[in-house]
Amino acid sequence: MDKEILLDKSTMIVSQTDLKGNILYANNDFCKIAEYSKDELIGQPHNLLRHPDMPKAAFKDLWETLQRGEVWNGIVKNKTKSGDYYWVNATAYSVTKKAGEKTLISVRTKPTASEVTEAKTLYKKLKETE
Amino acid sequence: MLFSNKQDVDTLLNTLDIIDEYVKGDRNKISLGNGVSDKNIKKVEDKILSIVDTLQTKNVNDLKVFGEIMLVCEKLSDGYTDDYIAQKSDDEKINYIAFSINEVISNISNSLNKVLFVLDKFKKNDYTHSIDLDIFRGGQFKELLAGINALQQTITTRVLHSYKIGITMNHQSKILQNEVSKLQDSTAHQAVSVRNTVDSIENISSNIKANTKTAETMFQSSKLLKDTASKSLVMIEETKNTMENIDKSTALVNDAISMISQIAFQTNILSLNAAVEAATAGEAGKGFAVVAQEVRNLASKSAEVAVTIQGLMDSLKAQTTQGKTSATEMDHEFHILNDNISETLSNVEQIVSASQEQKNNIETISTSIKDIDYETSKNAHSIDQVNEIAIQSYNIAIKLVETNKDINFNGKDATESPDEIIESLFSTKKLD
Repeated sequence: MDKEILLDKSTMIVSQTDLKGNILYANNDFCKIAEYSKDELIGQPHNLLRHPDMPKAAFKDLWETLQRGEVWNGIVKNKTKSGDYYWVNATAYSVTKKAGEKTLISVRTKPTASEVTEAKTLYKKLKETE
Repeated sequence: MLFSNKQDVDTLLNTLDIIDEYVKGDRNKISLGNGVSDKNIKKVEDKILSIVDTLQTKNVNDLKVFGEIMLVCEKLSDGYTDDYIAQKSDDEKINYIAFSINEVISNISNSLNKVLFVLDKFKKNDYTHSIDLDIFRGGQFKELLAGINALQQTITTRVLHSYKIGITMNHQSKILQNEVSKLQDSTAHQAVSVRNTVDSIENISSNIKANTKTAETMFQSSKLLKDTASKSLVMIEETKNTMENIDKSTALVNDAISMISQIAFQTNILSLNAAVEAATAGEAGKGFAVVAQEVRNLASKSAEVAVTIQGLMDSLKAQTTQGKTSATEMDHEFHILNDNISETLSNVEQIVSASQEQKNNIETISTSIKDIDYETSKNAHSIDQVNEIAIQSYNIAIKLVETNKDINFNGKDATESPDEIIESLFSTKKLD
């Protein structure tokens, strides 16, 4: 409980969601780190993994950026099924597939220690203003 | 000296270290601003910052494609072929990889769609579709498609075989049913005939029994008749002997009569002589002459009686002869009668033994015909069962044909007659 899971440099957490944030697909690394099976994740809203330490402003920025069609990058704290947490360096973007159908893809890699420290401070501050 | 300001140099070196970390993957992002003071060094710094910007933009663009590649590939390994890589990178090598992956997915998806289409048709009993093998150049995918086609071929062969068997069975069982129906009719006829025969044989049997009895009675009567005839013969013989004896006695009587006649003649002669003598004696002889006359009268009467007796004896002889002739004739006729009776007796004896044999034979026939009657009724029962089976097999054949009618396969429209099918089924090599 509440233990930090550290990512490997080789860890690639990739997921695909619809525009409402429902998970369409999650890769094996995602499942391994978040402690869910694919069946448990697919169809669920992405905020299943949201950690309470994350400020709302971060997600607001994320959605606004994606809606503008831009790439969002940020350090995010997620919680696992058993209540542990892990930090990721997330890059999210929208992709238009055939027939104009839009989906969101997010690729998470290992953040550096300084990125995590920086984010911790920022989010703490943002949390306090909520 | 290019870098006169040591601080600026340090700043640049620090920036380059950060870039180094980023390139090595120990840093995810670079956010830097200008930090040098020297005008010339600032130009260098600007160039460095521009490169950093290009590098980061390129990395983000690549990452976007990589993210898609990672997703699409993992989906593919999970079995999903409905996704593809939509984005383009600035790096043509990455684009080539993305294009290749899209080709892989598209080929697999196309071929699987064809396989699914054909399998769906199979599921709906349509075996007329095969898959174009040219989608793949070789390998297991091509083998898979070839395998589906081989399956189609095998199923077609099997179904065609069963279809043909169905048509043939249908045809044959119809014939069988007809024949069984005919057999049923003739067996019913046969049963009636056999039953009539049994009745007739029973009649004949009782007639023969009666005949045998009559023949036996006739035999007994004939035997009695023969005895009587034999006794009659003996009696005729006795009559004949008696007649013979009468004949002999008649001859003796004739002799005696002849003697009497002789004596009467001599007595007459003597009386004549006496009369002559008496006449000679005169008156003395007168009485004597009377006596002589009386003797002469007696002699003449004796001769007359002898003649009468002779006449009677002649009549008797004639009658005896006639009686002898009759007895001989009777004897002759009775011998013929006796022979006839003997022959009749022998015939009747033969009739009795023939009747007995006939009785035995008719009993054997009766037993046999009763067996036939029993077997016929058993046959009739069996034929009913055969008929039942013939009807069932006809229905099965119809079902088989109907089942196959719903199945679509190559060669279904072939217009072979059932006889041709039978020939081809039994003359060609068997199915594996």
